[in-house]
Amino acid sequence: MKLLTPLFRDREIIGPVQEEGRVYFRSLESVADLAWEFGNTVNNIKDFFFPPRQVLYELTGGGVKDAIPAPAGRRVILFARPCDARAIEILDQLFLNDFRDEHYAAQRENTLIIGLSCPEPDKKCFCVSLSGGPFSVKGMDASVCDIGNDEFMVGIETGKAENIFTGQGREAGSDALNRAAEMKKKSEEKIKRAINIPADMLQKFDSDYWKAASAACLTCGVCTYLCPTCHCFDIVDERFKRVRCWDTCSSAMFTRLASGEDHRREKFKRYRQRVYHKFNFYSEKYHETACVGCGRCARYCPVKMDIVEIVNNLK
Amino acid sequence: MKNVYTPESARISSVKIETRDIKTFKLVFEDENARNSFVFAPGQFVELSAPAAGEATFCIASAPSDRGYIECSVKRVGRVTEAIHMLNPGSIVGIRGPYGNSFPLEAIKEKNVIFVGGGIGLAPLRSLIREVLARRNDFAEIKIIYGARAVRDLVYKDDLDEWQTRDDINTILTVDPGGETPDWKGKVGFVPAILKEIAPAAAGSVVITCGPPIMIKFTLAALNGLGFQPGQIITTLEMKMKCGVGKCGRCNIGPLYVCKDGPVFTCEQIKNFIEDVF
Repeated sequence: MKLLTPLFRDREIIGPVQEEGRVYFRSLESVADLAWEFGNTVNNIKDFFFPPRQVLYELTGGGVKDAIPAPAGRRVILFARPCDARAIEILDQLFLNDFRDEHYAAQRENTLIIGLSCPEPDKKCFCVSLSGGPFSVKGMDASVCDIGNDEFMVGIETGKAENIFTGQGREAGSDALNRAAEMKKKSEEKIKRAINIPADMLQKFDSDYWKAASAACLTCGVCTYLCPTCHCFDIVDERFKRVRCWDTCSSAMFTRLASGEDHRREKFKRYRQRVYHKFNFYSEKYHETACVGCGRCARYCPVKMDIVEIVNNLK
Repeated sequence: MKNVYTPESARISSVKIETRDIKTFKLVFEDENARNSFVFAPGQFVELSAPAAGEATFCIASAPSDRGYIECSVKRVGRVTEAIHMLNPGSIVGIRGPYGNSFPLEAIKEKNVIFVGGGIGLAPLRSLIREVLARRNDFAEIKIIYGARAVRDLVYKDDLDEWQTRDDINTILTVDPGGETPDWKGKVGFVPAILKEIAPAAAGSVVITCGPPIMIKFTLAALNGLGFQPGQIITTLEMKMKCGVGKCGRCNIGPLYVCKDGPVFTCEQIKNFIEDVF
């Protein structure tokens, strides 16, 4: 608590809060609102760089008014799990390269990500099989690990976080380091679930397997909205505002042309697109699998579809 | 700091009615810098906005050598195209672009070039045809096979007339059975069928095709039968798009984004996903 209070001065703090029996990332009023005991939050931190709805620009009497965020103060995202932090680096590749997305960039530059290590992964987690891990620090500016005895191991991972904990704590001794290493090992061993992306996945694109595998899917989009790496969006005009909002490739309208032509009319084609985009196509272009193994899609799917099983069983 | 989602203003300088549902808009950028810095190659597209209605993708139908303006042909099929159709000369629209890749002009030099177009699919081809004809001697034989559902659905009738009078290219026009008028002098038959009839030689040739998916499907089959390899066939894909800059995911197909890696592709590049598209 004491460690964090100084952070709240002059900064917007976003962190996990308890809300009706679940934990969500929200903007916090004070340290007291923080939830300390949680597996992972329902939503993830992409919400704060790529919000569900965002004005791109506005047409006014005086011409075009850009709506690129110009944040007044700085922000800190507290206690992002390693999977969620790593996902931001994956999104960076998409939003910041080539036609740089200034709406995303503005929030990204302005935000410090403080991660929280994961000593108790749950049974849906599978980050290890995707080059992640419960004690990974990728994507974090600073990392925090609860090593028991009311002590926290803090790692300064990037230059952005250099001064935020100045004057607090002391250099970690070998005892603390050992305890952290021990927790890391135990945590990694707890993750039994693993995804095995078949080497011949592309060859199985036309397999009948996809019809059966996708049969239960409702195309509700929950998996997409809660996924830390999903980033598809729609752009619409709301009178004189041009707005972008989250969309899902599982939606029946996603690829529908005004003429009625649609190369993914059938649901199985859309489900297949989602799986291939995450585990095959994206990595061909960006050299990273577009999945961090957070397990939210399996945890929250209303019909209990499990992407790990679906990929592992691909015939 | 450039907002990639903000359009540049352009004024409609003229509107040409091509058919009952297709209009060609001549657009001139309002800002002089924008006018001078807009450099494009045949095959590229723009995102055209009808203010307060929405934005949609249109290929540039004019050629780079048509200086001072660009042309977009718009078929009225939905909400945004309806809004664009209601605009008159003098109205302001928004343009983002040029986006996408372009036809490989260098790679097709000295070859026989066969254009196969259907309906509004002639729009992107027209940009290339105009450019190719401006440097006629760089290419060997040129054939244009173009058809539409009916005589009244043929677009760019002025260009078609001009192409037909030239003796250094071979222009074959066709309409679907039942679409002919009593004084129609062209062929009658679906484009792929006419293509089979013309039976161009595959050796030293390249085909550039654009049209409705069903036409492309049968055209590819016909070309396969004539011995054309996938690498000899170039097409330009149409897919629902939103951002036009490879971020929103909508035009993603395989590892490709139609807005960035395309819209121009050889059939070799998309052969793994051809079933998914046509």
